[in-house]
Amino acid sequence: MTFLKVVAFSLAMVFAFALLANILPQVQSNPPTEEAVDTGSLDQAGQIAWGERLFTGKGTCTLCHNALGRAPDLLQLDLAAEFPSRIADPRYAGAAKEAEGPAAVEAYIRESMIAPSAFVVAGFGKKGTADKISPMPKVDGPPISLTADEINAIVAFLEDRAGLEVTVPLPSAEAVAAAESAGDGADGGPAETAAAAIVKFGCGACHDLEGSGADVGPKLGGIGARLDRAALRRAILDPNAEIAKGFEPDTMPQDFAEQMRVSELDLLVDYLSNLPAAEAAR
Amino acid sequence: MSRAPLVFLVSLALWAAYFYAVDILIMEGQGLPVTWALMPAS
Amino acid sequence: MSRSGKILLACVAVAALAALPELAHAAGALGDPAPVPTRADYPTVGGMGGRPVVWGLAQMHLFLAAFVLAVPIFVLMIELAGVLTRDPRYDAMAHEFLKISMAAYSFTALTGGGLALALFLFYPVVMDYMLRVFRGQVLFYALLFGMESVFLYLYYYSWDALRHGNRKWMHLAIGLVLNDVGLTLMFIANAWTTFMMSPAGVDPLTGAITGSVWEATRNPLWNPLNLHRFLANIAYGGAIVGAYAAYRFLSARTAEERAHYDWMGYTSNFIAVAGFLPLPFAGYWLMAEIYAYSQQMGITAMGGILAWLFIIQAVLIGTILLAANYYLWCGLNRSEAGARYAPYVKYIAVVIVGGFLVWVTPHSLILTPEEVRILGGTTHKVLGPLGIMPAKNTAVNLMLIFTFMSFQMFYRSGREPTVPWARAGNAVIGALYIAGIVNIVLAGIYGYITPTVYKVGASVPQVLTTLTIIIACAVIDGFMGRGARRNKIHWGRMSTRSQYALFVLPVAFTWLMALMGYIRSSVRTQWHVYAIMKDASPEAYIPTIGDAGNMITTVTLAFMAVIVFVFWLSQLGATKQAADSSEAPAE
Repeated sequence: MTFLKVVAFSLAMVFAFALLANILPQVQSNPPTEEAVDTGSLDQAGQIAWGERLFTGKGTCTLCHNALGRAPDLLQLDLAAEFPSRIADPRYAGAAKEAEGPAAVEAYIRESMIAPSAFVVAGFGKKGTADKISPMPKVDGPPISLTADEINAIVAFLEDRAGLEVTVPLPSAEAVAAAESAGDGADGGPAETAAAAIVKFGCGACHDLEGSGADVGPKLGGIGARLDRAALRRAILDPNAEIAKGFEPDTMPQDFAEQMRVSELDLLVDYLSNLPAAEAAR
Repeated sequence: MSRAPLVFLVSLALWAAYFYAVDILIMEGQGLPVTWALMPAS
Repeated sequence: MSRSGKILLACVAVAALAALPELAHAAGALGDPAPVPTRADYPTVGGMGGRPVVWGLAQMHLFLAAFVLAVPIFVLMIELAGVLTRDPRYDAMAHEFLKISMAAYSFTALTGGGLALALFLFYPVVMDYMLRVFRGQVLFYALLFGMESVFLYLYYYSWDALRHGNRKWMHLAIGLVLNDVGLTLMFIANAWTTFMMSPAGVDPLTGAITGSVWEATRNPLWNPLNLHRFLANIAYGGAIVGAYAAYRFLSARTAEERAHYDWMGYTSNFIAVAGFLPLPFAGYWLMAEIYAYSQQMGITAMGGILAWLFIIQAVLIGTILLAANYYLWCGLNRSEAGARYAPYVKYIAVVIVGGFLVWVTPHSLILTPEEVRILGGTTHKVLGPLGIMPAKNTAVNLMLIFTFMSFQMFYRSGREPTVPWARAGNAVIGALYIAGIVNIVLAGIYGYITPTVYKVGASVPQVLTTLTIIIACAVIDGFMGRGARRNKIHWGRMSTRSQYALFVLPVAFTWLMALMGYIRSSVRTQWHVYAIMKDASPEAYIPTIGDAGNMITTVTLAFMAVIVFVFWLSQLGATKQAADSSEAPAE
C-alpha cells in the first residue's frame, strides 16, 4: 500500500512538471534555411529587402541587437546620426577614417561585421576589457558564415535605414549556387576560391603568387600586415592610388573594378590578408 | 551576558568591512566600476 | 588478495593514469578537414530517426552514471567518518548505501553500450570525426571501465573481510582508487560532450585536427562541466538513496528500524543539500564560460529561445529547496531543543517561498496583443524588473543562506554548548548573517543600476558572501560544539508527510537533470560540433519545451522504474525463504 502511494505521488509530480512544460509558450527553433535568392535578378530594393531578411534570419543579428541592452539596438537607433557620430569618435581609428560620406559609413558597417573589435561602442565591450574587445562574432566565419553578397545586402539594408544612398554593388548576374560550374570562372561564373581568382585575373603573371615566381609587381608576402582590408581593395581596384616604392604607375590593369565580382574581390582580399611573409619560398 | 551586545556590534562592523573589501576586490578584478560616482546611468 | 597484490594493482592503476598523455599524442588522421554530413548520412530504422533513441539512451545512461559515480563518493566519506568517530553505525550505513546501489552498475553499462551502438548506427559521420579527434583516448576509456569494475567489486566484496585496523585503511584506499577511476571516466566523457560545444585543438574553419587529444579534452567548457557534474552527482546520489531510506522508514515494523531509516534519511538529505548548495555557483561558472566562448551560445541559452526553460528550472529548484527545508523543519521535532527553534521556521519559509516566487517570475510575459495594449508593454511595470538576473541572483543566494540556516538550527538543536564563549559566538554568527544578507541585497541593487553587460558581475560577490556565511558558520559551530552536551535526538520521531519530502527530491532532481541536458544540447543549435560540423539531419531543430518535457518525463519514469528494481533487488538479496518441510532429505 505504501508502495502504491509513493508511486502515485511520484507520478503526480512528474506529470505536474510535464504539464508545466506544455503550457508554456511553445517555440520550435529551426536551423536557418539557406534562402535560395536569385541574386542575378535583385534590384536595389530587392537587395535591401534581402538584407533585412538576413538581419533577422541567417545573420542572427537580432539575437543581440535588440532592446535588451546587450548590443546597440540598431533597429531603434537613429542610424543617420549614430553612424557618423561613431566614426567621429576620438577612439575610432578604423577603415572609415580613410573614406568620406556614405563610403565611410559603408566601410564602418562592413568593418563592424567582419572585425567587430576594431571599434567597440562605449559600454558594450566584453566585461573587463575596457571596451577594447567586442563580444560580437565575425559574421563572415562560422557559425554565422555570411557570404560577401549577404554582407553587402545587410550593409545596404543599414545604409537605407540611415537614410543614406546605398553604396554597395548589386550581387553578380550569375546565380551563386551554380553547382555545375567549375568555380574557376572559366565558364563565366564567379571564381569560388582565391586560387581560381588568381588564375582568372592573371595576378600570377606579375606578382609572385601560387609559385609563379613573377617579379613584375611587388612581393605580396605578409602584405596583410602592411595594408588593411580597405587598402587592399583599393590597391586592386584603383592601383594608381598608391604605388609601391620602386615600381611605376600604370603597370597594373586598372579595370578590375569592372571585371571582378564582389565575391571574387573579397576572396582575394581574404587571401592577401592572410598571406604569410615567406610566401616566395614556396 | 554583558559582553554579547558589544561583540555583536564589533563583529558586525568587522564583517561589513570584510564584505566591502571582498566586493571591491572582485569588482575591480572584473574591471567593473565600484564607486557610486563612476556608476553609469542605466 | 594479498597486500602486495593490492599494491601492485594500485601501481598499475597509477601507471595507466600516467600513460594518458602518451595515448593522447597517438598518431591519427590529422590534417583532413571535418566531414560535412548531408541529409543522406543519417540512417533511419523503421522510419524513426536517431535523435529520440540517442536522447533517451544518453539520458538514461547519465542518470545511472551520475548515481553510480556519486554513491562511492559519499560512501567513502561516511566510511571514513566511521573510522574517525569509531561509531559502527556510520560503517553500517555506508555499507548499506553501497549495497543498495550495486545492481545499478550493470544497468549503467548496458545503457552506455546501447548509447554507443545507437550513436554509431544513427550518426556515423559524427562518430567518425569524434573518433578521429579523440583517437586513443577511447581505448583508455574502455580500460578504465575494466578498472572500475575491478575496484568496485573489490570495494564491495571485501567490506567485511577488511573490517578493522590496518585492513580498514586498505579498504578505504580501494574506495579512493574506485572514486579516482570513476571521476576520470566522467571527465573523459565530459570532454567529448564539451568538445562538441566549444571545440579546441582543431582548426576553427575546417575542423582539421591541429592539436593533441589533451588540447581537445581541455576545451573551454570542460572544467566548468566537470565541477558542475561532480557536485550535481553528489546531490543526486544523496537524493536517490534518501528515497530508499524514506520508503524503508514508511514500511518499517520496529522502532529500531524506524530510527535507523530516519537517520539514514537525514543523512541522505544532508548529502543532497550539501552537494546542492554550491551547485548554483558551478552553474554560474558554466554559463559564464559559455558566454565567454560564444556570446551567441550564451544568449541562445538564457536570453533567447531557451529562456523559458530557466523558469522551469526555477520551479524545479524551488521545489527541491522547499522540500529539503520542509524535511529539516519536520526534523526539528525530533528533540525538545529543536522544538524551541520551530517558531522561527515561518520566517525561513517566508524567505524561501518569497525567493522562489522572485526566481520564477519571468521577464517577458505570455500575453496576447490585447493584453500587451492594456499592460502598456510586454513586461509588468512592478514585477517585470524581478525577471532579470540581479533579482534572481539575490533570490537564490538568500534561499541558499536560509536553507543553510535550517540545517544549522537542526545541528544546534542536538547540542548544548558548554564553551564559555558561546554567547559571544552566537553574536558573531548573528552579525555575520546580517552583514552578509545586507551585502547580498546591496549587490543586487548594484546590478540593477549598471548596464546589462555588467549586471551579472555583481553576482560574484553575492556568491562569495553566501559561501563565507556557510563556511564561517560551520567553523564557528564546529568549535562551539566541542565538549557540548548532546541533546537526545529521538530518531524515528517523524511524520509520514516528512518522508514524502524525501521522495520529492529525487523525482525533481531527475527531471531537472534531464531538463538541463536538453538545454546543454540545444545551445549547439544546428551544429553537431559548434561552428565546425553542421547538423544536416531532419532533426536539426530545437524541439519545443512541450516535446522536450514529454521526452524528459518518459525517461524519468523509465529511470524511476529501474531504480525501484535496483532497490528491490538489494532487498531480495537479503531475503531467505524458510525451508519447506516437504524437501526434507530422504531418510
